[in-house]
Amino acid sequence: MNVRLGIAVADTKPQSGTERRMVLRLLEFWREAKGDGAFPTPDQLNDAAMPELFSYCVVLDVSQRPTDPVVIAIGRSMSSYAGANLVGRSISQFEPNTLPTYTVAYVAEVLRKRVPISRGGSFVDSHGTTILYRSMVAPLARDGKTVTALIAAANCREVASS
Amino acid sequence: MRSYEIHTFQAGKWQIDSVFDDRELALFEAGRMDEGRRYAGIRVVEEEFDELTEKTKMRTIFRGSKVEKANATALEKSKETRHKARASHAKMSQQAEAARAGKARNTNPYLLIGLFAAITLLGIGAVIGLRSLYGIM
Repeated sequence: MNVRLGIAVADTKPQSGTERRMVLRLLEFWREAKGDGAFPTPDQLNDAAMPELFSYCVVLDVSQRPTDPVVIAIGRSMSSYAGANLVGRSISQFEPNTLPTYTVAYVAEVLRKRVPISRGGSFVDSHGTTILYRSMVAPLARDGKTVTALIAAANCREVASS
Repeated sequence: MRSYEIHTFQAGKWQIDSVFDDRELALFEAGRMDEGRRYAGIRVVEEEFDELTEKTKMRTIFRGSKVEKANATALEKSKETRHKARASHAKMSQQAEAARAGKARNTNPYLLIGLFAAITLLGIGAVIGLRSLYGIM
């Protein structure tokens, strides 16, 4: 297990028949949960519904301040990337150069388009290590129609320094 | 700046399903969705925003097999319809041509001359008759 990044290798190993790419797994969960509706509810994509995947997720409330959403739930691995308990914090209060910061960087676009969006890239963390990441942010709705929350998931790996 | 939108065809219209900044990932996911039976159609649309012109260019870079099949069927049907229309038009032209030729063959010029002569003689006879009638009276 990579203690610093909080990644348990066993957690990233998919079950047989399950999509390896984590963001696509979240997307599949999201589609299954919403069915023929517009959006799934937050209860359909929580820790209980997808325990393995939720570890890499953070859920944001957008109903009060859509321009600066607040964390209402966070998975274990995502929390370890942040190095702090983010529940109750708005995204503007996230530490720079951390995975959660990059994961939620495009929430405005998700709120505008109202569909799951995936972005990837790289950044240099506080230890000077280059991190490659892939994330996805998807809309949720308490009533299934009006977006009230976002679920964001991300995984990453270090780029070995030469 | 490029993005790749996966579109699904549902309830008679195309809708955006998800957006990616990675072409291979979008194509992979679209291919996977296309293998399933959930959607009537899948496509991937590439959007490129030109910051200089502030214009967005869009092009379809993937069409699912059902879309391809439907397009191919529609194309075949359209070809068949055009072929039938051409054949029908050719047949009608031939028939019209044959009818014109038939009319030309059936027309006898001597018959027309004879008819004209008979009418003329009748007319002359009528005039002579009327004059002699007035002469008596």
